[in-house]
Amino acid sequence: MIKMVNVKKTYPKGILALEDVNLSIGANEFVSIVGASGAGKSTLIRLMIAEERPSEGKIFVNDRDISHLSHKQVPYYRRKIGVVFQDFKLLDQKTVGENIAFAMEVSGMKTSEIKKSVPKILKMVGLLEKQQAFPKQLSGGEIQRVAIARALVHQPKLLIADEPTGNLDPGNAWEIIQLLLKINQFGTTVILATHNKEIVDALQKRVVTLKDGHIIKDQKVGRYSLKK
Amino acid sequence: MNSFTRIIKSGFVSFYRNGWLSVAATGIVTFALVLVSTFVLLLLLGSSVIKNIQQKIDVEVFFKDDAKVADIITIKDQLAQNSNAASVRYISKKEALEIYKGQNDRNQKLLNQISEEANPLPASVQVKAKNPDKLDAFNQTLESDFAKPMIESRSDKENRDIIQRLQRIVSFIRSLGIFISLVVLTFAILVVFNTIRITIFSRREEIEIMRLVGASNWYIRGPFVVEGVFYGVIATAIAMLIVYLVVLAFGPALSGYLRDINEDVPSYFRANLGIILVVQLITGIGVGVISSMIAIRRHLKA
Repeated sequence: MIKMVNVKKTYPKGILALEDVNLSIGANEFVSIVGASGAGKSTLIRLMIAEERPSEGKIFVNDRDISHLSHKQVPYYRRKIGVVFQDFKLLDQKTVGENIAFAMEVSGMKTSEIKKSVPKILKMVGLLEKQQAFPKQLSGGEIQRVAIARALVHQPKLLIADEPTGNLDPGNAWEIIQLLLKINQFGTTVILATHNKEIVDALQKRVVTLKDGHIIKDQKVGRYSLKK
Repeated sequence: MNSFTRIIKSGFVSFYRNGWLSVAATGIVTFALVLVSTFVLLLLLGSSVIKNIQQKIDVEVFFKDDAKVADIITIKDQLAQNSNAASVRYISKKEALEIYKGQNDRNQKLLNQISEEANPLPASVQVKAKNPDKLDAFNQTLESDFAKPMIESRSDKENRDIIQRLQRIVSFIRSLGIFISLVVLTFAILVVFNTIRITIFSRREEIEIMRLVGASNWYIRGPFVVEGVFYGVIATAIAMLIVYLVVLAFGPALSGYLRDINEDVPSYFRANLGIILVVQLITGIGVGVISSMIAIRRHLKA
């Protein structure tokens, strides 16, 4: 699914974010990426969603090299992956349903098709009854579920979640993780960047640990620990 | 709705919501368009006047007062045989005076100064040429030893001077027009650019999300370009109206001034309405599109 080969990323002024990153993630895997702040988690995610280009090395997603995508190709690549963020990135002035519809409109879907799809997707995340509500009227966990629903509009084979529980209390956080697990069971590869120890330990899934821009550990069934 | 109608709608909504900003942006584009079309109009008029005069060039040969009428008639007959002569007419001193009086019938002071006894006007022969570019064809007759001593002056040379002067004026207007237009257009682009940048700023969150969920660059750019085009189109409509009103108000006076060369400015404007409209539309839409493209550019870097 994803293959990173000798990836290095330096930001302007020579700040080193990632180095010697070799990572291979198979189809239908659930992988947690852990590390302290500044370890390179966000950079890794940004490289995966083609928000940044690697300074060196190559990144393949579905055997396609995304390290040199042109500006024109990026939107089409993004439609094939789902992305969820810590700060949700929903539009406050749009309702839940409109927020989901927006992602479909943007890719040129027909209005009639969108009308049919929105309830289906909301049902998947258990928020069908909130279609007319505005994000401000929802709890943090519900908002993140809307964001996940939006990430699923194109039925992606890959879902990338960048600290999706970072702004949530433990109960809500666990709800989101359950949802991600469910999505993973339906056949979507999930990459979860987090520094929530309880969640990582409870998941009993593969854990990749980053420190100072290097992968220091990659365990099949891992626990959250930042030491080597 | 598909992407196209979504883009158009979004652009229009943004134009509408910007309120006074839209008015300012439309205003400056209108101003630029009025200026540009004024210059275009002046240039068109100028070149038309030149063409008109060029076509009117005929040779007018003025004779010295001591030239004998019979000799003048001989020269006239020789000119008439020239293959480039369309018509040849002899105007005696007396006739010249009548024509002059007719042209200045309102200026009594001037008329009082001349009379048949003290007639300063020379006898002349007017030759209308078939081809105004080949007036040299008459030289053989006019430069001959027989004719030359009798001839006071020839008018085709004077006309050429006038045309050259007009051409200089027109080319000056052209340079001035290009310069002023460029300055004003730059300002217009800056103002529209700023207006659209404010729209973009108020919608930066939306733009960020659009990019994340895979909106193509054109889908993101579209509404802002449409907004810019709206400024251009509305400005064109207003500018067209202004220019038309100005032509209606000042056209007749200008026509009077250009009476000798038969320029009816309002009808000339109507005849060139299409060109001016096209120039305005292209300029207006160009300003809108260029400004919005620059404004959105840095928001699209992936």
